[in-house]
Amino acid sequence: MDNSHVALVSMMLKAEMFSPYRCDRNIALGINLNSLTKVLRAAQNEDILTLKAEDAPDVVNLVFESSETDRLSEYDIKLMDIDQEHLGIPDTEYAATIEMPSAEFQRICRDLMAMSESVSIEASKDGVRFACQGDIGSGSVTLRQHKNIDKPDQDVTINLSEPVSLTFSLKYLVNFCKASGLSSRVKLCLSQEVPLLVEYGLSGSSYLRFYLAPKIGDDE
Amino acid sequence: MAIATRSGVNSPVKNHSKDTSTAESNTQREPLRHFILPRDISDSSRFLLLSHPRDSTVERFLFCPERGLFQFTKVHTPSIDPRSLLFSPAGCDGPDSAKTLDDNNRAEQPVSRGYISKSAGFFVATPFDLAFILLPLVMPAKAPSGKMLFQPIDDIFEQHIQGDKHLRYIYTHGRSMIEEAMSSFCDTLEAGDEQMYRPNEEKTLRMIMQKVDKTMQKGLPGSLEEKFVTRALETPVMSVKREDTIMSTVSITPTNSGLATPDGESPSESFDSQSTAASSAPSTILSEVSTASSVSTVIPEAVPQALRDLKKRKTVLDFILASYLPASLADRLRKRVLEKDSPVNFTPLEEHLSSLAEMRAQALASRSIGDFSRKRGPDDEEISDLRAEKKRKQEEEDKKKNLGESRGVRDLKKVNVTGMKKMSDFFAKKPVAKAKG
Repeated sequence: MDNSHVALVSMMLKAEMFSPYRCDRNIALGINLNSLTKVLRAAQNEDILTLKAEDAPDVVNLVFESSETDRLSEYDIKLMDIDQEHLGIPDTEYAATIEMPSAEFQRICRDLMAMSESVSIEASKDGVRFACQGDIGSGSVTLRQHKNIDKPDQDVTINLSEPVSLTFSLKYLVNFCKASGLSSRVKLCLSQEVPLLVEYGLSGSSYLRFYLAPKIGDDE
Repeated sequence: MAIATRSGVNSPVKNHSKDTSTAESNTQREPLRHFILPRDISDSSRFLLLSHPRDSTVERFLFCPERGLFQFTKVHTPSIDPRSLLFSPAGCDGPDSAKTLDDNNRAEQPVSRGYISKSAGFFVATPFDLAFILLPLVMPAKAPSGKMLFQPIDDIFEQHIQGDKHLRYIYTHGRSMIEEAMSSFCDTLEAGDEQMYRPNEEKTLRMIMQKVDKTMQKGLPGSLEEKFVTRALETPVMSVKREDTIMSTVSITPTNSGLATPDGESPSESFDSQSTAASSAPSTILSEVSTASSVSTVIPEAVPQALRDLKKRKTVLDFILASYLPASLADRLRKRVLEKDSPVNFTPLEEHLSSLAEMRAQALASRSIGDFSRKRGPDDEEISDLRAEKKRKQEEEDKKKNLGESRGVRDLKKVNVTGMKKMSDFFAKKPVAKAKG
């Protein structure tokens, strides 16, 4: 969760993504993301990464192996107590599910960010409309269901059980969009009065999910 | 307090233990209390509980039918400076005196061998005018509407002594004293062989003024005089100081003494030490004078003696009214003092004090302006240094803290999250264990 507790990120890396994968019992490792970033920077593109943690650990161990150069680097990151409560996220049936190219979503967020702090996402049977209202004026981007035979990556699919209109903070969305590099596709799931789910699919059934609380009240 | 100890033994007053029963027990359970009593008081002297005229709380007095009434003043040492008292038999007086002491106490007393009191506090009996005790009894609480009646002394006190055996003791043993005290503040009338009395406020005031005069002759204690007379009459230093700086810009002038009086009410009163220093050496360059202006003492002679006396008189009067008379009576007497036919006229003092207050206000105003104009004095530099240091530390700390978080996190801090609910409002907390994955 972020500091204001209005957004949440959850990343699932299934066991199938690893080889080998071994886990004797469930364990939660509190890792400082900054520290992790620092260590990960020491990795090279084609390195094989091994993550290890003992039982009741106080460090997590990262080993980078370069198959080409037989280079082996090993790092320990001190763990931290994470006092944040773990929230159970239920599987929700969303009223609207929009799939689109992640680059497209990023583009929309960036463009609207120039206009305003928040965006309203309205999904109706006509399509999905991202609209914002700022000091200098207003702007909107509307996407319709779209199929590109040649490049299925460019498809826009909208599944709708009922129309939805919600407002979100663009700054958060722009931050979510940084995950665009991980996946060419992004899935937005909306329901009235429920956090927006922004999901980037990873290989297999692994995913990176962002949740963002909608803005409710007078704020546009 | 060592001096007090010695005086307790050698001084003309004799040292008593409060009551013989405590003295007889060789082992004292609670420390003895020490009283310094007047010498040669009669055998029929008694400790009496009388209501103090100020607030009618019951306090202990000593009454001697020959010497009069005494109140007790506690002399005690501050608790931060603990002391004890040593009582020893007056060795230099020879064995005789020790013997008489023994005889007096009918047994060998701890006091005769010397005695150390843990607490150095003791009580001193000081004369107390009986009139002050009688005043609240005799004087009606409210201002009398008509003429009051002459009454014989028995009638006046009949009610009061009925339930008060302490007062009755004075009445029976010291009737002549009561009569004397009564006549000091009452109109008297001879009716047959009986003396009749009628309380008179004017006479009361005269009596008090006599006491004031007596006090004036002896002079006030130094600390009291300093606080209530000298300080109160001090001319504000700031105004003079300012004039000094003005003078330094003008020229060297022997007439500065004339310049230094702000309103010319009385030429000497507004001097403070630095301006007198200037006038004593008029040829010195005045810039030097202004450098000495940090000295802020006031030469007492600067205030005319008449004013000082008046202020002193007022201080004493206020003290007596506040501490020995009931409030209602004191107020009435105070009003009487202000009237034209009162024995003392405080008007010049009042005028002077009000003019002083005005000057003080001006000085204060000018000072605050002065402070404003020199925003960055030499002292401020240190403070600003300190502040800068603090700021730098704060920044460093912030930086250290920021090292632990990414830019994205920092940016998100600035986001307006009004209207956004917390995640925990949507998602229930997970039972106990850790999050999956």
